[in-house]
Amino acid sequence: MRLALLVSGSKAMLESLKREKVKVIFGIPGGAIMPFYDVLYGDPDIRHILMRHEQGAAHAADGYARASGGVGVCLATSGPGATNLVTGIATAQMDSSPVVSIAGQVPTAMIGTDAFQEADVFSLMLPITKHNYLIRKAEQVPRVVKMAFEIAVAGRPGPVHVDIPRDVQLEEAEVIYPSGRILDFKDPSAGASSLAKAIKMIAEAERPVIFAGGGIITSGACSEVLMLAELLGAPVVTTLLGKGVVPETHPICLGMIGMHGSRITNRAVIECDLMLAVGVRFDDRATGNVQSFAPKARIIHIDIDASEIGKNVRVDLPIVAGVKETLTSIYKNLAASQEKLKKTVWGERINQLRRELPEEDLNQSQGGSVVTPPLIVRTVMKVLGEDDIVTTEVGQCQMWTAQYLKVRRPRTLITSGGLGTMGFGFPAAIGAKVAKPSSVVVDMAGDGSFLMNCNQLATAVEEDIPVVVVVFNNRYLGMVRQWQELFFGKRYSATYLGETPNFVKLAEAFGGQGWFVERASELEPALREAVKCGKPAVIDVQIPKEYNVFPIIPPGRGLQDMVG
Amino acid sequence: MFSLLFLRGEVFRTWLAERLGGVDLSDDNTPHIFSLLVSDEPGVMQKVSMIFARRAINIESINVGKASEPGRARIILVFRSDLKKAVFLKAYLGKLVQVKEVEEIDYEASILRELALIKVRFPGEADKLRTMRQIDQFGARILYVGINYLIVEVSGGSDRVQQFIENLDPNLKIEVIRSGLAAIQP
Repeated sequence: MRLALLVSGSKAMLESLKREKVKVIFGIPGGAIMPFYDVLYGDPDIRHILMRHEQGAAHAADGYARASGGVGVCLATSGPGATNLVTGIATAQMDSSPVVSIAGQVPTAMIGTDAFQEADVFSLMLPITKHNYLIRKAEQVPRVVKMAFEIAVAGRPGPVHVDIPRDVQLEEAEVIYPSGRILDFKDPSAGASSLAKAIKMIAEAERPVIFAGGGIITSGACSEVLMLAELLGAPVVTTLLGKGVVPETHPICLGMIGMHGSRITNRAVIECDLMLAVGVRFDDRATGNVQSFAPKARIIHIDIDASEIGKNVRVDLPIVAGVKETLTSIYKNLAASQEKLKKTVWGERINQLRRELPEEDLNQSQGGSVVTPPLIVRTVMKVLGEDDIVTTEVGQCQMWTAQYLKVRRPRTLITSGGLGTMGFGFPAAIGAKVAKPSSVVVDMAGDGSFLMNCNQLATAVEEDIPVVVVVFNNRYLGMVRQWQELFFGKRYSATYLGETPNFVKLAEAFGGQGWFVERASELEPALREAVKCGKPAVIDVQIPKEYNVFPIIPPGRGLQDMVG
Repeated sequence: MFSLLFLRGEVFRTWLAERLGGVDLSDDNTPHIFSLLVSDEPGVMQKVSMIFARRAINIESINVGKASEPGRARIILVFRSDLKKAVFLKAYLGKLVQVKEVEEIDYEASILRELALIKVRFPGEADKLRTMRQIDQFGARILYVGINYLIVEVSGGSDRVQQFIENLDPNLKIEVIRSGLAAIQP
């Protein structure tokens, strides 16, 4: 039954969010969103987490979404509040993360007059959201909120922005809460002929590789991938966001491909004769030069987003369909066939590569008391359980984590892959910890990245969100410095950050706890204490200043051109 | 709903597979016409044009009017690009929530019409007669006669409209307003 009630736009917004089962909002109030904050005041069902900068609010909502598999919600005022969300929303868009952001707007009559704290947020959000709304009447609120949540999760997920002017928040209207779904999204499904072709190609292949991306995690198809891989004896290589699709401790998983992918993984891509690419978008950091990508392979590309097909890499068989149902059909058909599917010769070749190609760059390894980046990642892995969560900042710290961290479960590595947003990891860790309070959450940070959003230590302390930040401290914007070393004649332009700040004191100033680690033996005890202390913790780990991320594929080159 | 109308199609899949293999994709001067059925509400034009702007494609003409379905508008877009870009523009447009339908209209096999309004001076009687003759020959219409100028309407295919405009003495043309293309498939 539909019931029309006379309520304010703000109350309608709150009720609509509750109907979407929103439990947490990350936000900061301001003039144009005050009426909504007023109805939020003391609400028993929704926890509001007061962030210290709106960029962090968007990242926290994103981290919450990625850790939980649900939708993250962030909230800001008009103008500067909303423009501060932009980086976080763009980050969510690039990594297909379902975030609903809500911002106040100046009163309807003042829109377009350069009013105080007015920005054209509708236009600003256009290219970085899946869709966005400017609500003009209170009666529209329930419908718009419902559609926003439907769009955020439909097909390939992404962020949706809702702008709500101050007068609309105050206006009273008869509102109707829609009962069923409004938008009739149906996932496309694979045609019978495409499926038959795919099955034939897979059965005929001698050296198949499964190229697994983040879309598999979205689709909940991780076990389907593992089953198919095991059936075929096909190694799984992943994108950065695909880490965790299959347990990386499983021998069938070779790890990440691309610019900083492992030697064995890139080798397998070069040698394979069939690539089953699932839920990936062939990002340039993953493929290297596309002309020489998987040169011997026929490529089957399964993705729900038609605009990804053939965008970067030539594809032999495109299948625009949901990943889970497509993989299930393929698996069932293959498993039922009488053909010999296991590619044993290929399996032996992979084992040979595994023996020949070392994981770590041995030239850089330094013994004794020096704390090297691989040691940090391995120590974190040792201390964390398989359900614990690692987030990363962006740059060297991110790539070392990607190279050495064996992710065992989906949604336990949270990183800004597409946009590469420095400052993402710490607020995302806060969001992840809120979503999964029983998991330990560690942010693998560079000193440069951490400083971009370290203000959120105040949030973590005040809201009692004990996350651990491990700072790979080399006093440089390390990845840029590495490129300067390798490609710009060691001219370290604007990458040295100086010998400050003192990260231990920084943590303590905010009310957190800090550890200083400069010897290998100190690392594990510090990490265990930090995990146990129950407070936001920062471990300042001194690493060799010019330790590089190797191997690397120089920009513009192909997977065969790995250096280091 | 939105993109899925288009995603669902086997048509697109086979079309893409066929087109991207063995076809010359390099001609970036090929004209393309898209016919879009969209929600008739503020902001839609911005979203549509944004898709083109981001990929540095110039929209040659854009025409919007109410569609026969209530709450819907029809946009006819003309642009030039290579085939691969056109395929992706279509896919990106299909992802917009307010775009309900994207159809590529065959440039050769469709009925295309454009309208132009032209203000022409006639300093002397001889000029006037010459212009009138041209108007007659093209089946154009005089909409308004001023003291020393005419306002003329010409419609037809773009080439024909173009030809009419080019034939006029450049010293006499005051203003040319072109509507952009309307297109329909037989």
